[in-house]
Amino acid sequence: MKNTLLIPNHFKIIGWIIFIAFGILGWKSDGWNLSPIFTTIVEDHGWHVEVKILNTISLIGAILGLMLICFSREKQEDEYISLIRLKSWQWAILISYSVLIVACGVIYGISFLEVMLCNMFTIPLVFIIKFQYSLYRLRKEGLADEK
Amino acid sequence: MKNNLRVQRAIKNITQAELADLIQVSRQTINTIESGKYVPSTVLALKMAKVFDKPVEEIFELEQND
Repeated sequence: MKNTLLIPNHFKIIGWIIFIAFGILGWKSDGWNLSPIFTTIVEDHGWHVEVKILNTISLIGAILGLMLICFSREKQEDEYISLIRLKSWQWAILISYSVLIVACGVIYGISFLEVMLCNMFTIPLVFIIKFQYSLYRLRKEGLADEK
Repeated sequence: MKNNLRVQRAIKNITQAELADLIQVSRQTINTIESGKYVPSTVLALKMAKVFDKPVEEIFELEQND
């Protein structure tokens, strides 16, 4: 059964490059917090919306990079890998929403927003960690049980 | 569900890697099926049956708690 949502394997390395590059950019622009290096003002119906260009670009870039990593096919994608993929997404959702529940209960005000900003990344990051760890264990078990 | 894939493989004298190539999955997947950790899809089970030229029931068998 083909998983049509996945993109070719070489996008994974492109994803990592984009994620790391924009991650560093975001970090250098003071970690995506509220102190912009370069800002523009958008005026619309009397509203003044401050757009923090560097933050915006680095955030979009980092998220796109993570998405590319998450959705790129493995070199040999088969149904067992799909199962591992599904389980890893379940773990990612579970952990992200657990953090959300805890944060709702114990963190208030502007720090809640900061925690939520970081929590945006837990779904793809936990997915990547869990998925890669499962693949690593699968390969290791396979080697131990050769023949 | 249990299977006698290891036995079938021995009869046909092919390795996990060779079987994996024949049915287009990774060798690790064959390994997890053999060790009973993973129940393959019907498509994969039928492909294996075709490789061994035997009915699926001769390779895979239901267990009491299935």
